[in-house]
Amino acid sequence: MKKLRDWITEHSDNYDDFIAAVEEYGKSIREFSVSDEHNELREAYMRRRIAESEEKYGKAAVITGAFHTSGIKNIPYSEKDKKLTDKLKTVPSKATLMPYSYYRLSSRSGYGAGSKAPGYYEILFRNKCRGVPDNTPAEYLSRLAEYQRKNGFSASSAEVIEALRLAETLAAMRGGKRPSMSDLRDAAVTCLGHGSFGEISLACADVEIGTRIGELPEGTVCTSMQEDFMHQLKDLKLERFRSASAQELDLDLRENLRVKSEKSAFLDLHRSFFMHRLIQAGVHFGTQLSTNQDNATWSEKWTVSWTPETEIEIVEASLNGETVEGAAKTSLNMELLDSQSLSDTAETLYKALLCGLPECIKTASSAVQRMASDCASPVEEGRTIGTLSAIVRFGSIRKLDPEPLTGIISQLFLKFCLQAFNACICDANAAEEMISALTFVYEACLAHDFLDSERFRKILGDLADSDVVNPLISGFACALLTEKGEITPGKLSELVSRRLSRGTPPAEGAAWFEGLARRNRRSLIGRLTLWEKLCSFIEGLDDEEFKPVLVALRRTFADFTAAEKTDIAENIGEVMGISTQQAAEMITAAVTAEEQAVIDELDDFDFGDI
Amino acid sequence: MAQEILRLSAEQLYKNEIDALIANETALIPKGWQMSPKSVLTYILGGKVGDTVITPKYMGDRRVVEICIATLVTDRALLLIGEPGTAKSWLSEHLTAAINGNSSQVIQGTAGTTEEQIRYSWNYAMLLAKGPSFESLVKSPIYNAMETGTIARFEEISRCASEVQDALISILSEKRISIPELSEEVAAKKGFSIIATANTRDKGVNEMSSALKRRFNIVILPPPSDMNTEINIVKTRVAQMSKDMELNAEMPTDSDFEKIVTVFRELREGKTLDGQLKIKPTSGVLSSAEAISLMVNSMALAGSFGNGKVTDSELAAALQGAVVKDDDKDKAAWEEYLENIMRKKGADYASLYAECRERNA
Repeated sequence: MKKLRDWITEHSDNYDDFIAAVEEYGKSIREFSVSDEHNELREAYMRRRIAESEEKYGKAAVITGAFHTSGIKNIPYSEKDKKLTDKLKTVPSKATLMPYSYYRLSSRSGYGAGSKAPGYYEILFRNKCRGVPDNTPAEYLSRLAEYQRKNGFSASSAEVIEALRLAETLAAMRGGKRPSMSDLRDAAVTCLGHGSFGEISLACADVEIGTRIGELPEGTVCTSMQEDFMHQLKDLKLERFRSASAQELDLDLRENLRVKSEKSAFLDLHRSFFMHRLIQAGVHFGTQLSTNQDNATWSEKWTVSWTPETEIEIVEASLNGETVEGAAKTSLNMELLDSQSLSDTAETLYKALLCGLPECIKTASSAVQRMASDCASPVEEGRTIGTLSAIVRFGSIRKLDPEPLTGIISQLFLKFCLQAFNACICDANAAEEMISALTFVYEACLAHDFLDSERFRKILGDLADSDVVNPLISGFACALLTEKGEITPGKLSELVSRRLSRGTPPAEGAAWFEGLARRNRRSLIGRLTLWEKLCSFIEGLDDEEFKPVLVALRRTFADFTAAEKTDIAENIGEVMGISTQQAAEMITAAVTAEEQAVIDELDDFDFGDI
Repeated sequence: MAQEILRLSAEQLYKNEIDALIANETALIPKGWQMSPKSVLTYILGGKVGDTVITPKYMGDRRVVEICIATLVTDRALLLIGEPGTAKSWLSEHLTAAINGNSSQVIQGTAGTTEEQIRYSWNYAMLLAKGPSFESLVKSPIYNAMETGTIARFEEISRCASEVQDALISILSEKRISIPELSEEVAAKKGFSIIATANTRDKGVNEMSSALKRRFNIVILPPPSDMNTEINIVKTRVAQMSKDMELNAEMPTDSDFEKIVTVFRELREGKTLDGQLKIKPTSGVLSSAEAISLMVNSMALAGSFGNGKVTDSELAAALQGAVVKDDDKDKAAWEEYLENIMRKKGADYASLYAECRERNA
C-alpha cells in the first residue's frame, strides 16, 4: 500500500490525475480498514465545521488527508452529525503558532502521518512545476554526491552515473517508467555507499528530509512549556513559591493518611517529582538541601526562589519538550546516549527514579542492561550493583516496580562472580576498589533473596584460600565469611596460621591481617588463638622485616575505637602474661617524645607497595 | 553415474527448472543471457512457470536479488560482501547457472592466486615446440568468459594479494585483455561480467583498492532477516544434505531447529530476540551455515553412535563446539548466556540448558 502511495505521488504527471489517484488510494485504505466510532465522530465534526463555515463565509477550501476525503466529500452534513457532535464536551484550549521544520514534517520525528522524505518530494514538486519531472532522479543522486563531497567523502560523477543506470534498470525490472524513491535509494546505497547504507545515511537524511525551518514574527510565541509550568504550580499548590525571596519547602514523600483523595495523599511525592524534573530539564527553580541520614529515604528539603533567569531557563527548556515532564524525559534520554560507563548509566537510572518517570526508568534499565553485558570491570559492576540494590530497596516510596531491575542485578551479579577472582590478582590501589565492590555485592546478597548467594560464598571461599590474589582482599574475603559464620573455626585458624607463618612474606601477612580486621572486629577480638598467632608472628620477625609489618599493623589498628583497643589489650595481656591494666595503659597512652622520634624515622622508610 | 558424484553443479541439479524457464520465456532477453532478468529472479526466489514448480534457492530480501540482477544487466561487475555463511557463493553460483547455464567458470581466490590465473598462462611444452601462439595459450576462466560473453565467478577475492586483485582493473574498465607476447588484444563480447565474493571477516587482510572497488557494484548480503526465514533455510538445507549423505538418523524436531536458531541468532546479534536484553557475543562465526552443519553433525552423531534420534545431549555437545571456539572468554560469555538467558526461557529449554551447563562446567 505504501509503495502504491509513493508511486502515485511520484508518477502522476498532472494535478487532476494526481488528485483522482490520491482519492482512489484513500478510498482503498478505507475499504481495508475497520471503521471505528472514533473516526466517524471525527468526520462528523469535520463535516459540521465545514458546513458552519460555508454558511458564514461562503465556499471553503479543505486541506485533509486522503483517508478522510471520501468521508467528507461524499457524505453531506446531516442532523445525525449534529446530534452526534452535540454530545462532545468543550475543553478549553489555546491555539498558538510555532515554526515547523521539514524534520517535524517527516515520519522520522515520530509524526505518524508524516512524510517519508519531505526534501525529496520538494525536488520532485519543483521539477514537476518546471515541466522536467525526469530530472528528479539525477538531481537526487547528484545532491547525495554533493553532500558526500562537502563532508569529505569521495563521490565521483562516474558513481552517480552508475547509480542512475542501476536505478533505471531496477525500475524497468518492475515495470515502472521512472525510478521511484526506493529504486533511487537502493541504487545510491549500492553505488555511492559501496553497499552499505551507513556510508550515505547522513547524505540521505540531508537530501530526503532536509533541514528547512519555518519562521514566525517576533512576540507571537508563547511556549507550551511556560503554560505547563504555571499549570503545574497551581496544581501542586506551589504558587506561593513564585517569588524572588528564597523559601524552604519540606517534603514528606510518604502517603498522607489523613486526607481523602489519592492526589492529596501523594501531594508531596508529586511535588518532589516536579522539582526533580525541573532540575533535570535545566530549570533551577529549587535547590535540594542534603538531609541527615536518618530520614533520607522519605524526606526532602528544598529552597525555592523565582528569578528572571528561571523564566529564561524555562523557555530554553522548551527546546527539549512541550511540558516539564517532556523536557525532563528528553534530557534524561540524552544523558543516557552520552553516558559511557556503566555506573554513569546507573546514575541516570537513579535520576529517572527521582523524577518519577516510569518510561525513562524503563529505557534507562535497558541501557544499564546493555552496558552491563559489555562491561568488563568488576569494580564498575560492583558499584552498579550497589546503586541498583539501593534503588530496589528504597524505590517503593516512589512507587517503583522493582521487577526489571532485579533481572539486571542478577545478570551483573553473575558477571561479577565470573570475573571477580581474576580481578583480585592486582596491586594495592586496585585492591581497595575491589574491596569496595565486594562490599557492595556482599550487602546486595544479604538484602536480596533472588541472588545466588551460594555462588558468591564460593567465590569468597576461593579468595580467602588463594595465595595468588592480593593478600588484602584475601583477608577481607575471610572477614566476610567469618561475619556470616560461613567458615569453620578450624579453617579460620588454619588460614591464620598459614598467612602469619614464616613461609609467607611478612608484608603480605600483615596486609592479610589488615584485610581481616576490616570487618566484624568484635568477633575477631573474641578469638584468643588469633592474637596468640599474631603475637608469635611479630616475635618471629627480624628488624628489617618488622618495619613494613609495623606500618601495615599501625594502619590496621588506627581506626579501632578506644574500647576495642582495650579489649585487644586484654587479649594480649592474656597471651603475654601481663596484667590487663598494664597492657591497656601501654596501648592507649599518648605517644611520648621518644617514641615519636622512632616513628618519625619511619618517614624515610621506603614503603614500596604496601 | 550422477549418484556417484558428491555434489552436482547448480545447472545440473536444477536442469528441468532452467529448461522450463527458457521454454516459457516471454520477456526480452539481454545479449549473452539465456533467459530474461525476470526469469532469473523467479529461478532464484522460486515460483511457478507453466507446470513446473521452481524451488526457491535464496530465501531472503527480494530487493537484494533484484539489485544483483539489475547490476549484471548494466554490464557492471557485481561484488557480494557478507559475513561467512550468508550464501554469497551460493547466490553467485545460481546466478551464473540461470544466466549462462554454466557456473563452472570460477577462480578461487587464495593467498597463492597469481596474476596468470586471472589473465592467461602458457602451456610450456607447446610454447617450446611452437613458440608463442594462441594454441599454446592457457586461458583463465575470465578469459573464457570474455570470449564467450558470459559471466565468470571470482570467489573470496579479498584473500588474494592486492596486486593480483588489481589485474582485474583493466579487464573491468576496458573489457579487454591484451596479450603483448602475440601483439594481440581480445575484446569481451556482450554479456561478459564478473561476480566476485568477499568475506567481511577477512576485511583488512588484503584491503581492496578503491580503484578496483569503484568498478564493482557492491551488494552486502545480510544474515537472514527474521527467525522463520532462518529456520526455514536451516531446515531445507539439513533435509537436502541428510538425504545426500544418507545419514541414518531422523530429522530433528521443529522445536530443536527453533532452539538452535534462537541461540545462534541471539548470540550473533548480541541481543535477545525481543530486543529487550543485550548479550555479550562470542568470537566464533555463528551463521546459518554453521547452524546447518551443527544440525547435520548432531544427526551424524545420533545416527552413528546413538539411537538415530537427535537428543538435547547431542545438540549441547555440538553447541559447545560451535560457540566456545578458542579461549576462556568464550566460555565465560557462553556461561553468561546460559545463566542469564537460556535458563529463563522456561520448560522447553530446561533439558538443553542442563546439558549445556554440564558441558561448559
